[in-house]
Amino acid sequence: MDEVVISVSGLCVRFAGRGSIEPVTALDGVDLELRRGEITGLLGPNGSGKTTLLRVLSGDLAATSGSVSVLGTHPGDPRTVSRLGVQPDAKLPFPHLGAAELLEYLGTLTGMPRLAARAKAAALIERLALLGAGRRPVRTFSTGMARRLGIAAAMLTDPEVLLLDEPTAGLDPNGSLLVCEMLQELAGRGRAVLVASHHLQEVEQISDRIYLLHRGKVATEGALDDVLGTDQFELLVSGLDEARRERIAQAVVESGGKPEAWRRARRHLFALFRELDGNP
Amino acid sequence: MNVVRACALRTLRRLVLPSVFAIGFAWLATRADAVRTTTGDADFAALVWLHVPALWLTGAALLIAIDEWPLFHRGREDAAWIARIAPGPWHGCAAAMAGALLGLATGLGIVAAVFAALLTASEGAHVRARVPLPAIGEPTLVPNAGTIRFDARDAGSIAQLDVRATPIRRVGDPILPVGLEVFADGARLHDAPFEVAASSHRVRLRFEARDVEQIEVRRSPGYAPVLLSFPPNAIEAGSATERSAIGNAILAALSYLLPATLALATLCVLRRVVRGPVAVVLLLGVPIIATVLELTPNGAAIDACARGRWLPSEPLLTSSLVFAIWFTLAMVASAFVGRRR
Repeated sequence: MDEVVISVSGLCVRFAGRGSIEPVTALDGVDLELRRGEITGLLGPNGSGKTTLLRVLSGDLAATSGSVSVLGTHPGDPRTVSRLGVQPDAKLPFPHLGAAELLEYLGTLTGMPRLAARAKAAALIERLALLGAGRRPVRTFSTGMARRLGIAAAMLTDPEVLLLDEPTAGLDPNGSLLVCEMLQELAGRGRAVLVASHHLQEVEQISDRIYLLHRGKVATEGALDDVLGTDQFELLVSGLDEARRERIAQAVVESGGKPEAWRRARRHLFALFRELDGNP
Repeated sequence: MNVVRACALRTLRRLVLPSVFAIGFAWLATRADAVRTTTGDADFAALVWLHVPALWLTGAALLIAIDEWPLFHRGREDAAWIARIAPGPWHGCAAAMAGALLGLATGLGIVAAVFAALLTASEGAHVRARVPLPAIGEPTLVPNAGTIRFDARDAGSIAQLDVRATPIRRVGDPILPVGLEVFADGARLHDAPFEVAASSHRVRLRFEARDVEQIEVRRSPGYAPVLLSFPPNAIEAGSATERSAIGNAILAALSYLLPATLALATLCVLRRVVRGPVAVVLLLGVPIIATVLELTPNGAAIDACARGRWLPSEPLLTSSLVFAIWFTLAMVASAFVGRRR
C-alpha cells in the first residue's frame, strides 16, 4: 500500500518578470512523495505555492528545474489522463450543461465510452448528493454544489491518484463531511489523494501525512502524529465532580507528571449540524 | 457526446436569434433600398444583401466557438479543467472548430434558403452555368469589317447568350450607338438588331436550347463606324440547364465558411499567446480582411450568385488556393503549440 505514485524532487518554478512586474519564485526546492492508500494534506497560506504545485503535477505547468514523476512518467503524459483525477480550484467549464451532461461530456473527453461515462456520472451524482440537480444548468449551482460536482468530475475515471485543490471550500459542514468521508473511503481502496487546502482542521482530520508549504518551500512534512504530536497526553473522563477531578490531578503530580489544564470536552460543530439535519 | 457534435449543436442553438435578426434586417434593407434591376446582368441583385446575414452569422458563430471551447485563447479560468484531458494535437480546438463550422454551415444554409425564397429575382432570371466564349482571331470588330466569330464547341447545350462589346472612341467623339446582330451556326438568334453604346451595356439573348459550334457577331448597316472590342468574357454562353436559385444562394452563403475557418485556424496557432479581447478582434477582423482582400472567394461567390451564375461552374479556385495554403500552414503550426497555459 505504501507504493510511491508521485515523486517530486528539488522542484523549482519561477515566473519570469515583465516590465515592472518582478519575477516570482513560486516553488523553491520542493520534495514530496505521494503514496497509495494515503491522504496527503498540502497546507499553507495563500500564495505559498499549493496551487502551483498541483498545476505542475497535473502537467498544466512546466517545472523550471527539478524532477517530477507522476505514475512512473512525466506530468501531463497522455497515458495518465484517466489514471489521474484533478480538481482545480477554478469554475467549471460548459456551464450551460446539466450536471449529468457535464460529467458525461468530461468523461468522453478523457476517452471513456459514452455509456460508461453516463453510468459513472449517474453514480457520482447520487454519491455526492446532487440528485435533484442532475438536469439543472451548472451555472445555476451554488458554490458548494459546484464544488461537489467538481470533485465528481475529478473522480469520473476512478483514478489511481486524486489531486484536489481546496475541495471543501464553500461547502457546508454536511458537504465537507460527505467529501471527507468519501476521500477516506477512496484511500481505503488504495487510492492516493493529495488535498491542497488552507482549511487546517479538515485536512488534519483526514490526512495521513501533511506537507506544510511556506513561501514556496516545504516548511515541515511527515505523518500527522510526527508533525503535530507533543509530549502531552489527553485523558477524557466523565461522571466526576470537581473534588474527584482534583484528586486525579493530585495523583498525576504524585506520579511525577504536571497537570496542565482541565478542559471541557466539546462536541464538534459537524455533529451539531448533522443533528440539526436529523443525522445524529 | 464528442466535441464536434457538442459544439455544432450548441453553435446552432445559439445562432437562432442572430439568424432571425439577420434575416429581418437584411430583408428590411432590401425593401428600403429596393435593389432591383431591369438589365439582364443582375438577375438576383437583392441577393448581394446576403453579405449581411452571412457576415453576421459568421461573427456570431466565431464568438460562440471561443466561448464554447476554453482552450482557444489564454486566460480562461475553466480551461484548467480540460487542458489536461483535451484530446489530440490541437487539444480539442480542431474538433471544436469543426463543430462550430458545422453549426455555422447549417445556419448559413437555412438563412440563405429563407433569404432567397423571400427575394424576387428580376424578370426572366435563371441560374445557369456561364461559359465565356473565346474569339476566333482578333477580338475586335473594326469599323469596316462586318464580322467576328467565337468558338462555342466547349459550351455544350446553351439557351442564353450575354454580349458585352466595348466601343472604343477618341476623346470628344459623340457617343453613338452601334447596331449588332448575333448568329449561332448561321441562324439568327433575335428578331431585330440591338444597339450597343456604353461599355458596360450587356445584352442578353435567350433562345431555344441548342448545341452550337460557332457564334458570329455582325455589325448592322446604317450605324456609326465605331471600333468595338471584345475582351475576355465579352461573350458568355448560358447553359441550357437551369439550376436552383435557392441552392445557388445556399452555396454562396456557405462560402463564408472559408473566412470563418481561416479566423479559427489563425486563432488556433496563437491560442497560447492571445487573451480574450485580442482573440475577439482577431476572429472578427480576419473574415473582414480576407473578404476585402479577396483571400477567400465569399465576396466573388455572392457577386456571382446575384448575377445568376451557377457557382460550381465559376472559377473561384484562385482565391480558394490562398485559403487552402493559409489554412494548411495554420493547422500544421497549431499542432505544435503545447497545451500548457
